Amino acid sequence: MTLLALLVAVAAFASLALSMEKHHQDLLKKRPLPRDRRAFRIAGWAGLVLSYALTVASWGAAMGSILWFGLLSLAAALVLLTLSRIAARPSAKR
Amino acid sequence: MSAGFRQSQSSLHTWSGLIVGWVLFTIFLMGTVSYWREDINRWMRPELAGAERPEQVVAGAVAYLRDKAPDAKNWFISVPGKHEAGASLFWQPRPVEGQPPRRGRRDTQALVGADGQPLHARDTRGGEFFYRFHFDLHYVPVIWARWFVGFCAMAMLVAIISGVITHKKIFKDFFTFRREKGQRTWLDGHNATAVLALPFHLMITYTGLVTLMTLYMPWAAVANYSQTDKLFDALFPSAGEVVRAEKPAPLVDLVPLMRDARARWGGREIGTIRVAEPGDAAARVTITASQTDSISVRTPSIAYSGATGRVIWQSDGAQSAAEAAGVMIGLHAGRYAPDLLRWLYFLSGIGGTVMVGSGLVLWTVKRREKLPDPIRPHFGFRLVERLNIGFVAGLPLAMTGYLWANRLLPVEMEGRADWEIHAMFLVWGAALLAGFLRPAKRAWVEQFALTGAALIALPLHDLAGGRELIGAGMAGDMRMVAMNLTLLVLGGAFLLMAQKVHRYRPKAKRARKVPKAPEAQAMLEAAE
Repeated sequence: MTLLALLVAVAAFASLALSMEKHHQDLLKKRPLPRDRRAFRIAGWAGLVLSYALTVASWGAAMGSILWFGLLSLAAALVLLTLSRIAARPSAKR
Repeated sequence: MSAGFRQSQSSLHTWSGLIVGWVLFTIFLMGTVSYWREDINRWMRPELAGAERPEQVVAGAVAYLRDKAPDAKNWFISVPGKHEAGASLFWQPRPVEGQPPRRGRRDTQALVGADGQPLHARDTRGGEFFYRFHFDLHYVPVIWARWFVGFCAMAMLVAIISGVITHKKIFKDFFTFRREKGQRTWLDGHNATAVLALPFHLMITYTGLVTLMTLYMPWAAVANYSQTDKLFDALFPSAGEVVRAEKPAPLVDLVPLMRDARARWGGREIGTIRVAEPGDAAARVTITASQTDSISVRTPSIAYSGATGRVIWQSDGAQSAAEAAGVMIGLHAGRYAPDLLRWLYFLSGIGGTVMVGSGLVLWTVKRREKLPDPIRPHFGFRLVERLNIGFVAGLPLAMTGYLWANRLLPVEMEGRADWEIHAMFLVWGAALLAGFLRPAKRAWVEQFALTGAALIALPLHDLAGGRELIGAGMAGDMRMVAMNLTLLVLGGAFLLMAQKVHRYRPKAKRARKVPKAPEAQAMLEAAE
């Protein structure tokens, strides 16, 4: 359950990154439409809420909330490192 | 937000961060490893077998105390948790009329196993040293140290808040980390470690101040409580002092009391047991719950009559303000946290350490390009650059030296625990000195590489001795194995950092006026 919450948080942050012009271009090699950006943004935030629900469901409100913040930091760090590695690849250089 | 305001916050951030940065780095790193305090304790006492059942250990402890200190005023037994071997206990001898109370309780404490025999382990302060150092420092009076640490923590709070204001594109840059771009990379790294774990950084700094609030801000307490005793009674309620009946009575068996307390608390583990006036008819047994099962560190306790085993007092819930403080201290120390959460704490702590360290390095990176004469930078620049080496690279090296001292110093040595600590400071002093004497870039590489190699060599040394890694793994002591694996991973990380610094060549984008002598180049590349 906790692992699932982490994976959902990673997906959520990836989605939020895709809602941003620069990262979208790095990842998908095209400019995002405003409509796509909004969809990714909504999906991302929804994912964060879902990961919170999953964490609280298995750890309780107090412990789950604390743990969730930790999971968020870890998930965001994973997304950040992956993105920077992709952007640093020679093929991705503009 | 006006540019002027942001600029003022930027200066505030730079200087509040710099002046206390080295201390903050030390506090963060020491505090971060303290999340594995029990495991470091265990690792540094390899003679001890794995954990035993708490009831048996307490029975052994009582047998030992009965024999050793039957007429003590108080016995204190800390019940071993899931990962500890033996109970550490100490006793308070009956004060003798006309003699001042004795200081230093070396000979009134022991570590006792389930068989009631003292456990023989090498003399060490283990992980407790890192924990105490992160707010008490060492070689200086504790009160001064705490004031100093509190001042630094306050500056940290200022630096965090002004940093958030200064950071222009906190959301736009949320996922941004541009590699191999010099100053840009340092700034991105500093921002990323700050922003991604921002809830942790704010929480840890604020709650850190709360842990010592009655020291820093005594006025509210002074105004409301005429005597310190009364304040402590309100903060830490207890059943009151025991008056001796002067009638001997045997002490009841503690094991049923432990079971009773655990049942009343819905299965919570037991933390400490205090027996006041053992052997007297008025004896009292106070059982306090462990801090591992609730976020708050203010845990409930129950007092039993030592002669009959009946409950004579129970702590009611703490007052709301005390409870809030208890929760904050608990949040800070993470003693309640199960392993998974402990790891997240640890990683966030590393993030905070990297944030402070990269901030310190960033100060030099930003100014290096603007130096009027890069070959002979002015004194302030050199001082910061060299202190950075001695702290950011030197402290991990010194801490590794502490672990090595634990393995290398003779087990029977006089003052062994103290010498482990002296060894750490000797290594640290050498690292600081080397930071000033060696060319900067080489000093970074050397110290990172040495730390990495020394960390990796620790489990290998144990393995060669044939003891801990294999032996512990066979005995199912996974904590020991995990600690050794963590040392290997950390060592690898340090080697990787050494390699990164070693391979780094600044891109010659701008034509520099100064010809690059080898010496000058080393200076230019340093810290990048």
